Parts: sequence; structure tokens; C-alpha cells
Amino acid sequence: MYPYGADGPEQPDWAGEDCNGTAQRFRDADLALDKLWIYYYGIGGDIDEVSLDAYLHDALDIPASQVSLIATAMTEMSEGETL
Amino acid sequence: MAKESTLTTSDRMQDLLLESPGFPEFLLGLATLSASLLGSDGQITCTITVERDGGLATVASSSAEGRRLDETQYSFGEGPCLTALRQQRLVWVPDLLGDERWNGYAEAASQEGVRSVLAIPISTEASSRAGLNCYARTTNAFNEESVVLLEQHAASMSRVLRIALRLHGADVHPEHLRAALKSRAVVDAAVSLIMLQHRGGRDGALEILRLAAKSSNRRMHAIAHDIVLGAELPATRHDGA
Repeated sequence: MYPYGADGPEQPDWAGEDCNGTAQRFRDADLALDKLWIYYYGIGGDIDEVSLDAYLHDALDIPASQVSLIATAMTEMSEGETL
Repeated sequence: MAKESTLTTSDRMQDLLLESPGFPEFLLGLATLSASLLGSDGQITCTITVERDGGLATVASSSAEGRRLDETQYSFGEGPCLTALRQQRLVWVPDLLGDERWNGYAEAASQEGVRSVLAIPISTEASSRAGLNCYARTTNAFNEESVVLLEQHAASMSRVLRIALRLHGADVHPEHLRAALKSRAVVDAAVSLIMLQHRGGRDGALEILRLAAKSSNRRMHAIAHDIVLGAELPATRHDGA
């Protein structure tokens, strides 16, 4: 069980199908994995780089909250490089 | 006598290593120590330049003037010290004005009142380069004797500088990582505040931040920054876009 879903009574909201959208965007954006992870970390992201990589290659499901942060990181990065 | 003073200098360098809070302070101590080796009257300014991984440079100077002189070289992209640093060879300029190798730089440096320069490489590891630069206001300020003295000094600095480079792995956190760390710290602080106010979880707090950023078309860390500085917390997780 993913450890960060434990702070509320509701079940973690697994991202499921949304995965494809964000993962696809990553592939289209030609973004370096390490740069994305560092940015995502900077805005509060909690999963490790290896899991991020797996998620982006559709090999791992992660909580929706993390997917949102990854999407936000990509959006903010596309608007300008710096944190 | 000479041996005794060498010993003292190396002791002082070790003290610097132990006492300096960071790499810049250590280098500054080393530059000051080098200048005092050449005379206590302040006529000679020493700077030490360290380039790591081909780019990031740290410059320490025993005086403000020396710092300006080094920056002048960087702005010209050339100069005796940069040559010494990059080609790792000794550069001895008895009279800057009579030297045609660095025209633009020589003019700028002589406006600062510098007439002679001695630049000596300090050998370090493969991933970094270092040099000791000495500036004087008179021509021919450096002779064979001072060259030998400074070469010995550079050799003894080499060891302690290598240790310092390892000890202060300052570049473990280069600029972009520091930015991420800082952003993360601010976001975490804002998340803590939101959690407290909403008696909610971390995910929920992050979502509030994220939505607030989205609806105001700003970055998450900017919103977080405002919150840490006392801005009103975003009301609910469902407001905005």
C-alpha cells in the first residue's frame, strides 16, 4: 500500500486512466526525467524517481494526488525553466 | 628557519581546514595566508581561483581590489591568471604595460594600479582546477626568489585544497538543486499551515495549493511563499478553476 494515502479515511484515489494522459505528455514534451523529478520534488512531490519513471512508462499506478503534481510540474516547467 | 616557517604555514592551513564553515571561507583564509607570506605590508594582493567541473568558479581574495581584478579577467575571458589556471602553467608578468599578451585586460588592470602579476597553478583533482594569483602595484615585484617561494607554497596548498574540495562538496547542491530544495521547504511549510487550518491531510493541502496556483495562474511555490509570509489561506479545495 502506498504510504501517503494514510492520512484520511477515504481510499486513495488511484489515477488509473489519467496515467496515459500525463505519461503521453511527458513523452511528447521531450523532458529529461531527472529535471522533471527535481521540479516535482520542489513543489511537494513524494514518489521517488524510479517510480516516476515507471509511472511515465505506464508500468506503475500512483495516487491521483501525485499524478496531479506531476502534471502541474510539467505545466510549470513548460512555462519557464526555473523554480 | 625557512623550514620552520613552512611548517607553521602548513599548520595554519590545516587549522583553516578545520575551522572554516564553508569552502568560500576556507579559500579566503588561504588567500589571506598567501598574501601574508609575501609580506605583511599589504602591498601584494593574492587571490585564489577554483573552477569545478569546468564551470563553477569560486574566487577568494585577500582584498576587494583583488576580487575586482579577477572579475575583470573573467569579463575579458582572458588574463594571466586564467591562463595559469586553464593551462596549468606558471605565468609571470614583470610589467603589465609592456606585455602584449593580454591587451584589454592589461589596460583594465593597470587602471586599478596593478603593474606586475604572478599566477601559479595549484594542482588538484581531474575535475577541478585551481590557481594562486598575486598582484602588485610596482613593476618587477616578483623575482626568482618569490617565484620559488610561491611554487613551494602552491605545492603545499595542493594537498590541503584537495582535502577541502572533498570535505566541502559544495557542488553537491548546485544552483538548480538549491532552487528545488528552497521551493520544497517553502511548499512544505505552506502545506503544514494548510493542514493545521483545515485539520486535513497532506494530499489535500497540496491539492488546495495546486488549485490556488491554477486558478490564479501562478506557480505553486509562489502561492506557498505568500502563505508562509502570512497571506490568507485558500478557502476550500474546490475553489477556482
